[in-house]
Amino acid sequence: MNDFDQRWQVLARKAGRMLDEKLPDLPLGFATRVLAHSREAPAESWEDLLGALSLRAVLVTTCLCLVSAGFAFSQWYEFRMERPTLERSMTSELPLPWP
Amino acid sequence: MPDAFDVQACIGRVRAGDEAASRALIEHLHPLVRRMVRNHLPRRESEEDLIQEAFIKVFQKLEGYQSRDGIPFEHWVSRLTVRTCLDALRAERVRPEWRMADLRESETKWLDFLLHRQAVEPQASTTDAQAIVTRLLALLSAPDRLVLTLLDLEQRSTLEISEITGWTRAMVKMRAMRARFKLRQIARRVMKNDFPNP
Repeated sequence: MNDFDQRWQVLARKAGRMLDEKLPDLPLGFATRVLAHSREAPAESWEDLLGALSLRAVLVTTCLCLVSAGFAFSQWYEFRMERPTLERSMTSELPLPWP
Repeated sequence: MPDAFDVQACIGRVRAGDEAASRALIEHLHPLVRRMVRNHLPRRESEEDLIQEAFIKVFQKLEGYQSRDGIPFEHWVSRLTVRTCLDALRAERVRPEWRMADLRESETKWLDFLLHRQAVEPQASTTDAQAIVTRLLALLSAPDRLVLTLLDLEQRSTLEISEITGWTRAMVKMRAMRARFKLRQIARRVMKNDFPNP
């Protein structure tokens, strides 16, 4: 543990004492409100959950597509750079001696 | 001595539609939920609203709750409450900005102490310590803030945090280490911006 961490622990322990202060009582009508709202609002449905997950899936798929496209381009570019030129120079550029 | 509250029996009655049991359950869980919400409250969120949201989730998901041996119902409620707070913290997109000039003298002393510009611990009040901690934590991401509050302020064990958050213990330790590192960088940045080197 470094020096900052030790000093942070001292500060956090002191600040943490505030968390033990007495809590207020249950506000009047709170239970009624909670019960009314929990009856009104439906629980998170499977459709909502799937909707949230599918959005993430679309983002992840897009990222993967971009990465694979980048990789494919780099491979293609490398292949183009490494194409042998010897054959072309032998056949088209250097004049062959006539037998 | 008051009789111990039988949570499982109460849950059974709540599931059967007993409104009095629902009220009793809210009354029983209220201190736990309020304390958790208070410790992880986003800046602009109302404490009462977030407590209400957490309780609504508890009642909506109560049908799916299954008791397990040795794991009290309160753990399940803590997990739901922490998740509610984490969602609220994540929704708070704008991080606050502050400068040294915004701090009280006692808060500045704590920052000096953190960054080794002052050797001894300041004799400031607990309220000032809490104020500077709140300011610093507000600059972290929601999960980083959560882990440091649970570990360093509430002094919970990594096992407890793992149960509450669903993260592995190794992940809790790693996240806490990174969060403290970020905190140090933030504190240094604030200091550097206000007192640039000549």
